[in-house]
Amino acid sequence: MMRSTRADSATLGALAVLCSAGAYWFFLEHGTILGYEDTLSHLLIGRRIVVGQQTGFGQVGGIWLPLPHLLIATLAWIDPLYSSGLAGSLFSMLAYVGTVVALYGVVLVATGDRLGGWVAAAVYGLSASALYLQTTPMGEPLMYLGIVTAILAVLLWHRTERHRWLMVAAMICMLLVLVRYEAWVFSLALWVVVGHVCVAKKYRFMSGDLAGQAYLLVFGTYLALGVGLWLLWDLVIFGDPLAWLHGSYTSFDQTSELSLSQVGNLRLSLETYAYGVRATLGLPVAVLGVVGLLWMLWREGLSPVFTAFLATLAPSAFLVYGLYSGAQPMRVEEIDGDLYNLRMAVVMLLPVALFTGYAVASIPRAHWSARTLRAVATSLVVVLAGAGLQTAAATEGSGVVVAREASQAFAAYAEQRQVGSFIEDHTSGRVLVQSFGNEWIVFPIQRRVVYEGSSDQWRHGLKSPAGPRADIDVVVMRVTPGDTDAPEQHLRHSPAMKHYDVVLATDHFLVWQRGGGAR
Amino acid sequence: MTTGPDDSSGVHAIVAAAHRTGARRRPVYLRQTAQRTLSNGQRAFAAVAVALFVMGLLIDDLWTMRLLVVLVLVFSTLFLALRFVLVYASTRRRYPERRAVATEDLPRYTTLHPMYDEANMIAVVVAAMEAVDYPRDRLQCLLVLEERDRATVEAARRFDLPDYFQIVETPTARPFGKPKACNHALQFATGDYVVIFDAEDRPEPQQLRRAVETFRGAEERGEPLGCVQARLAFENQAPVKGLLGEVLRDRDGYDVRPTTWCTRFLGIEYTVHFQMVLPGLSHLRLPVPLGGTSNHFPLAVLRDVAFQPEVMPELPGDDRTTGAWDPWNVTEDAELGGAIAANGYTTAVFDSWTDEEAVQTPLATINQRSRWVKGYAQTSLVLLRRPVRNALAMGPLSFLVFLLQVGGTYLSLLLAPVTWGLTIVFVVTRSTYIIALFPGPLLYLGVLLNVGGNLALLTISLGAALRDRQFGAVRYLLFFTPLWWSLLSVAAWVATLELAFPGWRPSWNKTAHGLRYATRRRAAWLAVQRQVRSWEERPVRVAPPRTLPARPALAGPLPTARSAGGPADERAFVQLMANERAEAARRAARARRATARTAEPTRVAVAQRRAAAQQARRVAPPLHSDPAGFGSGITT
Repeated sequence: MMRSTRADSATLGALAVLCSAGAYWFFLEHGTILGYEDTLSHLLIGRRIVVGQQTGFGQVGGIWLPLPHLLIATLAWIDPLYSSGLAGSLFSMLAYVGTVVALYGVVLVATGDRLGGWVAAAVYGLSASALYLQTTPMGEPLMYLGIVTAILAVLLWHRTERHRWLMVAAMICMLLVLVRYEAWVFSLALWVVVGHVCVAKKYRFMSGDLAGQAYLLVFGTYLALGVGLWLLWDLVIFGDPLAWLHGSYTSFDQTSELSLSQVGNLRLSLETYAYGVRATLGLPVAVLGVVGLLWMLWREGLSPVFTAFLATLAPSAFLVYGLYSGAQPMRVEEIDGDLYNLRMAVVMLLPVALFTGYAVASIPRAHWSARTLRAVATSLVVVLAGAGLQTAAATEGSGVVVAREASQAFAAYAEQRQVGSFIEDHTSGRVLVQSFGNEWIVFPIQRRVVYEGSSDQWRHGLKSPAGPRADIDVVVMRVTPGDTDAPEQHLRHSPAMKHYDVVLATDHFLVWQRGGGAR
Repeated sequence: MTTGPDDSSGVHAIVAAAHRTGARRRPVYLRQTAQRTLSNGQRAFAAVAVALFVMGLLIDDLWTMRLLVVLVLVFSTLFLALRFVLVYASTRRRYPERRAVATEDLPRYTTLHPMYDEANMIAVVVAAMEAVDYPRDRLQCLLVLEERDRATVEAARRFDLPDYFQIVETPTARPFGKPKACNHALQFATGDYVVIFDAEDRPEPQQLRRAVETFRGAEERGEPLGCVQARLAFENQAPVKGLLGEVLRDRDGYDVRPTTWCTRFLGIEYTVHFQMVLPGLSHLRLPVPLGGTSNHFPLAVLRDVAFQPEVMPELPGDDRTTGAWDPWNVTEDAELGGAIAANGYTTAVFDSWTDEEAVQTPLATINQRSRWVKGYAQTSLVLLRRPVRNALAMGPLSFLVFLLQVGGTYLSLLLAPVTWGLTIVFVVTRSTYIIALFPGPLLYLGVLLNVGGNLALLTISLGAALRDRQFGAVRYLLFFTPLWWSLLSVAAWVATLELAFPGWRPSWNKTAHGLRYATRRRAAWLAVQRQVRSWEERPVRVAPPRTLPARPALAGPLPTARSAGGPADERAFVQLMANERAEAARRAARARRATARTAEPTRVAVAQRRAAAQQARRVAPPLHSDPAGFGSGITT
């Protein structure tokens, strides 16, 4: 059994690597890897730690959680890896492979059935949305890996009662809370699962050997440490431990001026999210997941294994709340007429995969008819899960809604790319440009950029860019009415700009060069 | 006099194996004592170092301090890395294979029991050795006492010792201490193997047999095994609990097994040390700083690695040839572990254990720990007298690891308050000087060591607690670890003062054992209980019972709804029923009060009878002997 499961894991891993590489090549060909604006932001943050006018761990900032950027920083100093996005995509791809294998492991440990494990792995691994997302330098694939491996570790602890698995789960969660904020809610849910396991095993909390108390404390401590370290970081960098929540450039800050129909409307928020799930997972797969959930609830009741599976719904619940509160916008064609942040729904793949795998695993094997049923069910699941791939191939990627969203976003920033290319090809020296909102401009010239995270250099640049303390050669201003940036607000009509001439003027941008000729 | 098969050929095989190892082809390891803290060369070196440091500060204080920071960071990195490597290696280790030995083939064994000012522990020692499964005709237990400790000597003489026990009185001569006493006693040892047990130790019954079997297994493999160390465990790291999970207490309300937050931490430290660190060292064939008790040696090995007689203190009736332990080193066992390795022998942790009693209070912890840490410092300083020669003799890697393990422990505890203090000062003041002191890479390394390193050490402790099923210790580890580490750092600084002022060292610096202890909270609760009991015993004035007034008879039959003429009568009927119910409730309450008052004399009588019974029990002799003293209130 051990040898066969190891062989399964190795085979799955190999297949996942092939799928991952194939997907990367496919979407690279269609130019959708660096579509989302956030992909550039992640790469920029990671690279700034090691390359730029001001480097250091302070460049991680205090809004986005740091772990993906720290990983990107290990490769982003290599220019080709940075400019292609592979410095970040590589970690997403590795995370994808790990998630596929881990899903197999979770269902195997939960049910003892290898076929169920394969089904769970297939539901996730063959999903076009998951395959696209793993080609991008985003934090979601890393979070998926953390979620599934944490559940696997908890289940192993539940089955074997070996404390090391609980400690592994705790440490995974400690790192996971440094990836994405949805993981905070998931980790809390997993903590509840740990408590449930302790209650189910009749561990004692207030008397006797205090095993339940010890396990809860250990898990909770690592979880709290991860969160605490991030709060401490914000306190040190910004003087406010909650700067990530209500500071500048946070989600709340960005969405506060938008009128989002989902804000304050729970029904609409749920509906939006449901449309998102349908678009990213496909209705048949989503239905399979619901059936699997109900089937498992009926068979197992509220067992610790069921609640562990249920914990994977926590990120989605958090995201629905994000829609409701306005912290995390998401737009779907059915309601808003366009696409935005649909990738937030892809996390539902995890519970769907687990519950579907469980459902197949629970089909008995004793009789030939049952074995036939298992084979049919497995085939059906695989076909449905892989349906998205067919669509992707047929539509050259545009049939994958998350890829389509990325393409649309990519197309929307053509002007910024033009400005960035111009600065890269026709100017030299330090560039003063606000990074937020101008990522496509900053991306190719990152090494030369003085931006809002450059502390003193930025402040001096906004006062006297030509002065010795700033020594700026190029200034970029966003002049879009109602959406100007800091250089425009501080310098457009400032006498400090007398040393500069406009060398490029587009609909939304002005590029100034020190001592350059007008074009 | 013990008898039994002569195992000397076996132990000589071990010595011969050591002679054949590569260690013997290196320069001979010259054991030196810690009679002086610093040698002349070390004093000169220290003076030069201080002078250079002061000069550096005068020339460029920032770069000088940065150099110091770099040295501290390098040391911390190496120390932590060693700890992680050892913990990982311990997961790979296996207990050495043993060769079964029939009872009739068991060799002679000598156990040394050094005691000072422990008259109350004689019975404990005897009971512990009585429980050991070893042929009595081949067992020699030496009570190693000090001639000047008349109380313990007299207590030992008065005690009805078994035949295999002997009393050895160490002559009164400086230096006083356990190692000198054991050296003196060694000349009376007739066993082929020797082990030291402290007074409070309770070895598991098969320990001596297992040690012999382990040595025999090593002989067969041709391995030069010079020492086997049993793991030590603190019995009182967790309270004894009943089936319902309640803490068991004696009739006076004291815990059957007194446990405090100190014993919890000490227990976990022992688990980490004896189940992770030492096994890791043993697995990697590195020198093992021995644990002070439950170390088993072939006597021939002790003689082989003994100090030269001329460096041993002169004692009447002592030929100074059995100087196995450094009389001036308060952790003579750790130093012996290094000497054993330097002479080509290995040390193994074998599958046995000894239960000990941990100290219970912070002050006692500081007292004990300062002694251990001081000994580590002494051992390191002795080792560094001839660093090149000793490194070549031990092997460079072994030398470095041993130095890191003993000296590094001392140094890390000493530096911890400095590094944490610097961190706190920076966070509070944002001092630009401190910022300048830590340029980028140094800052990141420092933060990583501070945060990640300490977290990793805490993780190791938590893992040890969970592995040992010491679940009750987890909350202490999580909430009191900074306090515990501070305590250890205080001990390190106390040790430094003791080293700096030689008049304080060496001494028995004894840890008291066999104490009955209660936390302040527990003592307060017991006091409250005693007060409540005293109230119950006071006579209560009882009022005479009161008679209840008779219930007046009803004037006529109660109206019913049917008999009533209409709605108004119906309302009157309902009201009447409600009034009746209220009256019935009042009557019942009065009756309960009357019953309670008439029951008072009964309760007083019961309380009086209970107090009389307790008084009778205090006077009556105990039904069974209680050598451990848990219920007899033994105090010092």
